[in-house]
Amino acid sequence: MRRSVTRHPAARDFVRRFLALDVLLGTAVVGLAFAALAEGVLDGPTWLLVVGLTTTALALLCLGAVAERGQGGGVASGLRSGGPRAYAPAVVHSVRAVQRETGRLVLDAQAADSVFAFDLTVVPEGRRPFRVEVRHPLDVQGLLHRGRAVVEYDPRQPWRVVVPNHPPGEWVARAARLDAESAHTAEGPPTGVPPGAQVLVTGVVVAVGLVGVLHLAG
Amino acid sequence: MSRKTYGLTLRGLACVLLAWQVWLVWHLSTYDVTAVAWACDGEGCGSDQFAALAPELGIASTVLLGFVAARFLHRATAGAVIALSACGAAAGWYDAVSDRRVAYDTVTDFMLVVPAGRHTVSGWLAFLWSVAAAGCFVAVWGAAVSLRRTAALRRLRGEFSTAQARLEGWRPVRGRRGEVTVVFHDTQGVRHAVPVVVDRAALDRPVLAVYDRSRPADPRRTRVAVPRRRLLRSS
Repeated sequence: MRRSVTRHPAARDFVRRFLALDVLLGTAVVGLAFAALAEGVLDGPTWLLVVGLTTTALALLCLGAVAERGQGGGVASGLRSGGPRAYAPAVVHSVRAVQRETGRLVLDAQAADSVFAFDLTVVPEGRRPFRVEVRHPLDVQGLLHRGRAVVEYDPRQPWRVVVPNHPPGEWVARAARLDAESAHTAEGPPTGVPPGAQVLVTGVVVAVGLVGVLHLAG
Repeated sequence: MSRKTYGLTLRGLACVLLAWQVWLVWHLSTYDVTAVAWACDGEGCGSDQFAALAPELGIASTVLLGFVAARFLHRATAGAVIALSACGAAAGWYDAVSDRRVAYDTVTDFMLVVPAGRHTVSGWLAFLWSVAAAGCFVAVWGAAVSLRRTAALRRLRGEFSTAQARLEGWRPVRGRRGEVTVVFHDTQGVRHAVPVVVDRAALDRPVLAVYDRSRPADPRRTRVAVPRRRLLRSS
């Protein structure tokens, strides 16, 4: 199991991202809430149904707020302060102006709440290239007119990517030499799942498991 | 499904669950009212049954439902949740009568935080139905105000588009309404400045222009929509 996971870095990242503490905690809370609701509906006392309804409603509300507010779905997060970072060249596919909150296209790039969305394929050393969307309020590195960029990413959590203002000269040269063939990935433009969706699905699965165990155990 | 639709769907599901809870708790508060055994001592009355604190729990659930549903119901929220609670309580009385727990002329009291007096079941039902009717009236009036202000029905029609807009100038026309010039860019990027009449509440707030895609500069087809002001960050 260990060898097959390390041979597939995407799977390792998925597992590592899943085992983050807040994701585990959220999954536990959502699972317990759904289990209480199911038990209360099936054969529980009324107070359990009321507790289940309240906690499930609050959990759904939090997940909805996270989904609307958060940036997920293929959009890169910022770097951790004090965390490891490395430079990498990247191929620029497109640059668009989007609204900061909704991610929809805007016509007026000077509008107050619009940011630039750079659709990049990052080619890091020692890993497979991956496609990501990085947002920034300014046109850093002049990427509106260039096809190559230098990004800074977190080698241990590669969904954290930023486009720095002034990358070192040798990396700029390396990016200019980047061959579009080596940046070929099978991924399309980032769409991705809304943030928090995996917590919801896993919580429901946990709840179904809990209720099943309770009923089987009598 | 976009992020916003997914988030709103979850919020809608939370509203459905809370509405179920409001109905359940209010129904229980009247259905079990004769089954509650009160133990009174010198300081007051207490009970350890769930139905005893159902009215307080009902009020709390109703308030929570109001906060969560405000995103969808806007100004109709208060009337709608009050009507829902009153209908739930009335349904509980009807079920109690049909299950022979009480009769229509049984005199009973109903603790609504403080004892609200002893009345017959028919009297309680009349009170609840009038509260429900008042709630429905307030809800319908609030819905009409919100629909008009946000131009929601117009935005749903296919030939109308929405754009962010700015208001300029103010010339009072009648009472709180005045004429302004709404400035917006349509989907082709063409700038339009159209005179419209708006309520005073539209000034100093971010507004949207709702215009006919084929005739964006026509003052008769263009409206100003005032999106709901967010009280709390989460709503």
